[in-house]
Amino acid sequence: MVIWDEFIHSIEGIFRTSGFATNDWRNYVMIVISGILIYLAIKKQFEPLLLLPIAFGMLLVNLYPAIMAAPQTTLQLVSDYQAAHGGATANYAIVTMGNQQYYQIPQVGGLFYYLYQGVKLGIYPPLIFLGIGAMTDFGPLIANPKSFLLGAAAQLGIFTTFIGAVFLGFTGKQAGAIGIIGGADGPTAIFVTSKLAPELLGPIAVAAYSYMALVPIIQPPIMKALTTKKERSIVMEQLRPVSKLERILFPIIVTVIVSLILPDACPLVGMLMLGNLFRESGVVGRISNTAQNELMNIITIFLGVTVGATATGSVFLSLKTIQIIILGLLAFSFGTAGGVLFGKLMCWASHGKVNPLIGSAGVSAVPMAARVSQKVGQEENPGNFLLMHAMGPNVSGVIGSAVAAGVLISILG
Amino acid sequence: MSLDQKVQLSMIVLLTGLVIVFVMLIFLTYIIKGYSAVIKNIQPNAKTDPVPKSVPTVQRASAPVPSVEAGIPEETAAAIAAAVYAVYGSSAGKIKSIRRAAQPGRSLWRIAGLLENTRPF
Repeated sequence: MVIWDEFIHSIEGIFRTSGFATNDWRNYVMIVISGILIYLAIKKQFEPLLLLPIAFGMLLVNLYPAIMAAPQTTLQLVSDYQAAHGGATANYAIVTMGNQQYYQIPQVGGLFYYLYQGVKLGIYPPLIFLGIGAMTDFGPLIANPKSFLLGAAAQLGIFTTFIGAVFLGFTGKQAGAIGIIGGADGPTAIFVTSKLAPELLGPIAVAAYSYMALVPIIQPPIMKALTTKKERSIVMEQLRPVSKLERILFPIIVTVIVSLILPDACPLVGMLMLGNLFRESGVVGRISNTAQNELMNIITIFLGVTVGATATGSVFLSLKTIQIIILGLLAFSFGTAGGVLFGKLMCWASHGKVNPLIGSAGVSAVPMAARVSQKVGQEENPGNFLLMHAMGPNVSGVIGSAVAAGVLISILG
Repeated sequence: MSLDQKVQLSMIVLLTGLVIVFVMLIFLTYIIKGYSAVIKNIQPNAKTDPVPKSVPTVQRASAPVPSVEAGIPEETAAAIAAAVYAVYGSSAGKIKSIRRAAQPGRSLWRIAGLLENTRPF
């Protein structure tokens, strides 16, 4: 009978600690949401490299919340500890309370807690930027530096969305973190949010990456609404070739200027440019390959699963998340509109030499936004090749969003 | 936050943000233009690929969008289009279709064996 009672007691104990007893309905809703995101990543291939780890991190944390648990210290009577360990003493710190001596026994945190430190301490986003820099060809931007203006205009979404978020009741720091979704740059959004409003990291990261995946759906209607058929058909002049020396000097000059004027943008811009210098110098091929492949992939896994793991049911399922998702869409739309409208201005100023469609690529989202410009342009004129022209604003958008991030951190941080 | 504070904060961030981003990127535009001009003067014969000239024009759509064989991703089609344009410029005309080249009827192992046996030394 005693054996039976102990058996039942053990089974009850296991059930009490199982997910069935400890999780609430919100965790199950999040499990369904993570399933939908996994479907979108695999079936629809929406940014699968990031969406898949994010969705699986979300799944894991809602099945087993302790995977994100911080390390703790528990107190145990020294006498109890010794009784349980055959009289052995331990090397833990001892505290005395009420004439009783206790061991302070450290408990390790969950796996994702440790991996998440790279996000919390702002380590992963600059490392991702290192890989992006090593993969990016800034040639089109150097050949046509005016593209910088389109990259600047497309940051309009960040600052207009900031206003919307403030008036919806978010604090200044939270509004800054929400606004940066308009930069269409995942690592920048995570970097800014981890510094300004870490409590919103889950919803903001999911919104930023979801909208980046939806760029081909969100942008074309705005681009078509703001341009005429004639403007969309403009064929742009071939870009001039860029010498190797120009390519090598570019990352050094940009790093020096941006870091001196806006030090808060230095970690992102500096690592972006370091990666690009690896690429363009041509003397560190192995490092360049590692930065754009192995390192980038490893950091992407860590970043994805831990960002996904911040989306627990209690945090994610709230009115704030819905507001963030709506504001994120507005941010993307305003950014696209800002770029296209400035493109129209440049078209007018250059007497029809600039196709305004390349302006939408200024929202970053490299290279998807540039491909959208190419695709929309070719719908009007199949002989039009805008991809290289759109890459200029596209990569300048990366620099522009990093600068905007530095501004937000500087003003609100 | 009161309404006044919200308006004040919004205006500060909007103006400061846009002004700094624009000033920074305009500054970079001129710096790049400047050093590019200096490099051109120093290295007038710098190694760069020749580019065919083209004249900016406004064209009417007259041909259909190139038909792309099923299974070829959009980015591959875009990269092919950009490569054609980079090499030929606007003289390339219009790409009518993109399809895979016919595969030889040999397996990879067979090709490897063939290469191994026909390589001189």
